Order: sequence, then structure tokens, then C-alpha cells
Amino acid sequence: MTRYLSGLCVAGLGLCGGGWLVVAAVAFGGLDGGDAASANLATGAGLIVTGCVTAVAWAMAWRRRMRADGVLGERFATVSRRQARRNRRELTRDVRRAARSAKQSAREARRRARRFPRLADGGHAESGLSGGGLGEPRGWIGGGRAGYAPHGPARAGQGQAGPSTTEVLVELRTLRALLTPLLEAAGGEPASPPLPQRRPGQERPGIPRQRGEQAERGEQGEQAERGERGERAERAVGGAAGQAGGPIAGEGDVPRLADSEETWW
Amino acid sequence: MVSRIGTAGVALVFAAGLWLVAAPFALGYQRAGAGWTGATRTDVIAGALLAVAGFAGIFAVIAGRVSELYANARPAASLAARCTGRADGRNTGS
Repeated sequence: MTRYLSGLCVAGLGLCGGGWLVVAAVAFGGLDGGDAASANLATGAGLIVTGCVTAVAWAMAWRRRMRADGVLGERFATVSRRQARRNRRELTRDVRRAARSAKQSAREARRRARRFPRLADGGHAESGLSGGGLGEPRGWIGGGRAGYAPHGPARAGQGQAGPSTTEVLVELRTLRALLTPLLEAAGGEPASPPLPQRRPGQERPGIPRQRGEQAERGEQGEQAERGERGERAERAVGGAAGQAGGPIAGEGDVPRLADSEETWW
Repeated sequence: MVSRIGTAGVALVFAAGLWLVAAPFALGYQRAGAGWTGATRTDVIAGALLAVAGFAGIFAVIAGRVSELYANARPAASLAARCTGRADGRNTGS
């Protein structure tokens, strides 16, 4: 660094000396001053040129050195006006496109939040049901979009299928098996047994309470009713416990469970 | 190359200073034994200043170059010493 600086200083001094010589020759000696004036003028001009060249050379060398040391950054490539205009236009277009897509996604998110307020409020966790509940098909929210699968992974373009009837019935059976002993212990009245399968035109059987009222009408009827009820309860509990390994008890139990569902709710 | 041009420029400034000091006597517009004219005085003073500055510039340029050479040679020497030490250790170990 020292030599660059000293070189620049000497070049500056040479410029000053040359300028002084020119000025002195013109001011004091005049253009017709003879040898002295001409010598001063020639030397002054030569010194000015030499000083300029030297200053430029040292400045260039210093800049090159600083660039090699990493003090100065690389130069930007010069771009023509046309290219600059084209770049500006492309940049504007990109920014507009990004803004448009951001607006679109925001609009879509608002629409989705309006359509599914539970998702937006976070009430899903409070519902106590896994997934969307029993009546709500799972996986259809979001339409199979990538990165939006609240109920498990969904394939692109189609949602996950909802719970089948078999699954619902299995859940109902499990609930029933769990609740029956509790109900028996609490009220002495066992849970309602599955109703017999109805045939077309057959009268609809009443719920257990109504049947209990009917049972008060006679002694014999009551005894028969109790025996039948206990037998049905035992059958229901035994069936639920014995068939816990399989997905469903049997083909005949499915419609019976479906019929008895209304006695539950 | 650029540094050489710069160094040559500094040397030219030094030479111009010397020339300015000697010009009145060499060109004969200052007679020997007579009092110095204004032109002579101007040339000698300006030439002396330029010569001193040129000499200092040349000295600084040479000194800077030499110090750079020393600065570059120090890491190379330490690297060479390290390499030599490793080679010696390897030879001693084997």
C-alpha cells in the first residue's frame, strides 16, 4: 500500500510542479522569453503528462491489488439500455404474478375458512370424535390437495373414503358391550336388547320403557318378560365379548344391530 | 506492467527535477558568476522540490515492493519449514 500511495503522491507533486512551470513561463517570462521560457514550458508540459500517466498507472495498480485482496468487489457487467428495460419488465411481471398468486391463495383460504368454521376455530379437538365425526366423511376436506390432509393422507384428486357401515356397527357394538354392565349395575334395568328383525307390515316394537309399562299389566306377562329380557341381555353381552376378535359378529347380527341402533340414541 | 509504468513515471519526475535544476546552466540563460535571475530561481527551486519528491517516491516504491516480497516470503517459508519438519519426522519414524 505504501508504494501505491507514495507513487500517487509523487504523481500529484509532478502535476503541481508542471503546472507551476507552465504558469511561471507564461506569467513571468512571457512566450517570447527565450530559452528559459521555452524550457520551462516544455518541462512543465512534460511533467503534467508524466504526472497524469503516473497517477493513472498507480491508481489502476492499487485498484487491481485491492480487488485481488478482496477489498473491492467484482465489477458489474455493463448492460445495454434495451437489456435493462427488458430486465425491468420481467421483474415487474414476476412481481405481479407473485402478487396474483398470493391473492388467490388468500382468497381460497378465506373461502375454506368460511366453509369449515370448525377448522378455522380449532373446534375439531373439542368435538371428542376422531376424524370428522361419524356422519362426516373423512378425508374429503381439502379435496385431496397436497399438504392438506387433516384426517390422514389422502390421494391426489380424491379424498379418503368415509367410514363404512361395518365400521360404524363395530363401534356401536363395542360401546354397547362396555356400557351394558354399567347400566345394569346403576339402575337394575339392563340395556335394551337388540330388537328382533322386523318384517314388512309388522308392528314396530316399542322402546324398553314402554315395554316395561306394558309388562306391569300382568303377573305372568311380567315374569315372561323378565326372563326374556335377561336372556337377551346375556346373549348380547356374550356375543359382544366373544366376537371381539372379528370385525363383525355374523351376517345376521348386522341388521339386528342396525335396528337396535335407534333404541340407543 | 502498470506498476512499472508508475515507477517509470516517478523516475521521470525525479529526472525532470534534476533537469530543471541543471537547465539554466546547461541552456546558458544563467551566466556563471552573475546573480540568479527570476527564471533561474524558479527552475532551481521547482526542480529541487521535484527531484527530492521523485527520489523519495522511488525510494518508497522500492521499499514497498521489498516489504511486499518479505510479507509474501514469510508464509511460504513457514510452509516450507512445516513440510521439511514433516518429512524429517517421517524419515525418523521409519
